Amino acid sequence: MFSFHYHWFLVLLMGIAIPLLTAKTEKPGEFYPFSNFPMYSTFEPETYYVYVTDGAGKPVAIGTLFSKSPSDVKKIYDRKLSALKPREKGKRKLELSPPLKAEAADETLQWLEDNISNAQRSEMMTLGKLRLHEVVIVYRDGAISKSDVIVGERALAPSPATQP
Amino acid sequence: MNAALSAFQRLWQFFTHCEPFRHARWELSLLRVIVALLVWDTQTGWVAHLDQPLQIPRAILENSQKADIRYESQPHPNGLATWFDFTFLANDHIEKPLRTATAVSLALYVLGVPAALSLLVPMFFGIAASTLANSQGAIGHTSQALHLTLLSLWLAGVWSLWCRWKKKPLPQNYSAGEFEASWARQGIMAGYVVSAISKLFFSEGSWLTSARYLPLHIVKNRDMEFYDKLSPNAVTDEWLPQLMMEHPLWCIVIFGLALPLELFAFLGLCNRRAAALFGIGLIGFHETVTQLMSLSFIFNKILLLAFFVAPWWWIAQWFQKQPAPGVKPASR
Repeated sequence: MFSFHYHWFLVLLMGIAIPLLTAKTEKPGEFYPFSNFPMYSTFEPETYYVYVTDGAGKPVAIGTLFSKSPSDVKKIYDRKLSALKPREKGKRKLELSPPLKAEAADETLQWLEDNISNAQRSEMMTLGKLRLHEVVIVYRDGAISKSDVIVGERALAPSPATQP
Repeated sequence: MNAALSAFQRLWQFFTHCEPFRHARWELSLLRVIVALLVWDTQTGWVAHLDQPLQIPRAILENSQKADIRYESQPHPNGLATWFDFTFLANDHIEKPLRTATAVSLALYVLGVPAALSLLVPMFFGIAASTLANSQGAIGHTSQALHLTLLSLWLAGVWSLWCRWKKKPLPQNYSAGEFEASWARQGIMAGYVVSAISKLFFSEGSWLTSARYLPLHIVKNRDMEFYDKLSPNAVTDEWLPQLMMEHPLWCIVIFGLALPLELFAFLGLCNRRAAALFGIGLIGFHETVTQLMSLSFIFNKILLLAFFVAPWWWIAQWFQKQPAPGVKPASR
């Protein structure tokens, strides 16, 4: 039987060495293209996602308009919540107060605005506002239920560069 | 009892007896074409047109013109971005020549130029661009298996050149191409083994029981799929997650199978039979997740199909075993 040294080297690198070396970073275990693949390693009895609506309350196609996936938007919002968590000690991310969530939502919407392509920017400006919704999914009383809350919004103002 | 034990031992030997993977030149060429096409997808997104095959050639040839890296900062540096600033990739005067060089390099790779030379630019550009994207605050894993494979192929290519220079034989008397494919397989399976270890570690051993809440994530992912393109097709079979929550044992059994499949994925490195077994098992697992949670895993599936299942190799073996027309099978 011959051994697979390279395979086990990678297992040790991604499974132990990198998680230890990156333990104090924002995302322990992540060092592209190496990862310890933490996603779906635990399942909580509660989960959530975010989506975006315009000034009229109509949902915005995140992938089509911003060329970003809803999953990326959620990760950005989640990271902001994690960063704000120490300001309300003892609370879980989803339990943070509305002002803190609004702060995280504002930064997330700002990120979307900043990273939109020039070709799509004019279309985004017609939306008037961007609102971020947080949808929490739980299993309660024998049924899956969702609660949808607007956590923040940004008015879209044309940047000086785009004004005539 | 002894007969059952003996049968199990024979079965165990059948799947775990280590045999070098021999690849004919045509199979190595095919693997090179598949790897090159997958890497080129990261620049063009042509795989999105798999359901419209006539649009694929156009996407392969034209979409790279539209690709544009726009990140002008790396606010949450990840990986090599901790030490290096990759925002220079957003400069079109650098990005566009690098993309052209990637296309030329991949073409040379397909034509048989050693991986150590031909994969250098695609590997650097691919990993650097993804590192920059992952340094924006959201870590994505879509291309991770592909770039790890690319890195493995390149490292094996460098190692085989070194051995050739030192006049040392490669392990198992592999050719350079066979050695590169071997490291690619080892890299792919390392990802699965680590993923299983993480599941056990982060869930403190209770991954199987916590899998009962997976239907909530099915709802989440399907809704997110809807908000991606506002496609009503994304939200189908809404009754399914509810049914799965009501019967948690289903989730535990269906998804519980994934854990040993990932944890023991290294056994798929032993021989072609085990490779096919684990390859089909993991593709089946990914496809289940795709159907339930709208997560594509397209790179993983194609890499598993190419490097592990390799249906073309089994077909070729079958044809080789067929007697030539007019030749009677030898009597025993």
